[in-house]
Amino acid sequence: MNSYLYGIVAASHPKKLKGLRGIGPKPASLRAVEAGELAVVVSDAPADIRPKRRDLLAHEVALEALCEQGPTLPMRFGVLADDDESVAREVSAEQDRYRKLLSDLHGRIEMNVKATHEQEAVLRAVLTENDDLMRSNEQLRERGGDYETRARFGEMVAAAVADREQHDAANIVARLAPHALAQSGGPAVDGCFVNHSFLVDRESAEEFEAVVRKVGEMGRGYLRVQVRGPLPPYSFAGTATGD
Amino acid sequence: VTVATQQSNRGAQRGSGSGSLYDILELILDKGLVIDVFVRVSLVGIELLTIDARIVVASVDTYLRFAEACNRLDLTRASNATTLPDLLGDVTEKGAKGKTKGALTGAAESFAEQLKGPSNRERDTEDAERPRSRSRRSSRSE
Repeated sequence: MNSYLYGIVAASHPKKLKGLRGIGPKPASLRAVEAGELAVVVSDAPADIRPKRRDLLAHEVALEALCEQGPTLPMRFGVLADDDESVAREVSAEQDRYRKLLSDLHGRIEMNVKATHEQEAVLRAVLTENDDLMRSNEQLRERGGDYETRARFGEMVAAAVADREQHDAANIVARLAPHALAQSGGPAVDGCFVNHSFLVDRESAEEFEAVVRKVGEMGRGYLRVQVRGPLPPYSFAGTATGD
Repeated sequence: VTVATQQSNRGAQRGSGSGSLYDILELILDKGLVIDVFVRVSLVGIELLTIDARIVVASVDTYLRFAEACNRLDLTRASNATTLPDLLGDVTEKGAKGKTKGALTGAAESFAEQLKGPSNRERDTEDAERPRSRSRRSSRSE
């Protein structure tokens, strides 16, 4: 039976696994596999793992519980080993690296920040700060324009918006970074011009959230900022970039 | 930029992880520790999901939609609206990049560097692809 991996913890982690439910149609029970001075939380892997809401949620919920108990290196969704023996063997072979990562994560959690622009507001902003665009817009509105003229105008607007996104993203991250221990740019997500994760002390999570909220208040009507957390430190489980 | 009109006026939203799985899907699927010798379940849906957001080609259709959205704007409200970016940004004039630099921390600069990378392409996401990839994504995660 394949073993499905949730996370790596120190041997001293409480590992209260009773009541935690794993992935699969019949939620698998979790067990800890010893790996040197570490332990790996795994379950039996169901035959057919799909990125279904049920299994993604089980992965996330199990990791949230483990993180609350103590430092946990969260695995990406979908990591499978042949069996518990190979889990123990491979993880203990790299245990120095994992122990270092775990100690860096002690007492810390991830907060994920996403931001989107209010479309009308950002368009209004790029038009009003650029006379050429403003003039073109007026001309198109009054006299219309052929396909090519409209497309060229739209292309310039898109470029101006992209500049603004870059500027605003850097600005938002710069405002949040001093309140975090480390940061990591997240994967591109539809519609979001900011997807950025921050490592913060668990007890500072609310404070960090308040800072994000303040940024959202400042940009009210122009942008929307969303913060998720405390999360298992997915973005800091491998290549944490401290600053 | 989302070309669909957004109604909400909330300043900031919050949620814990499990309460809003959708918002952190990409972290569970793209971040987190991977051990090379182990297999990562090959999930066609997951591959599509990560590609969707990254490889997006700017199209004339997108530009036309931008143009239309601008034409529809009521710019008489402009004076009110342009102050908003000022509240947030240190510099809002065109060509402000040089000035911005001094105001930012090193960390933010490296973030700006990242933006010049793959996510650049994402900016010009074709509007029509968004709802589609959204629905695909949510149907995958049902």
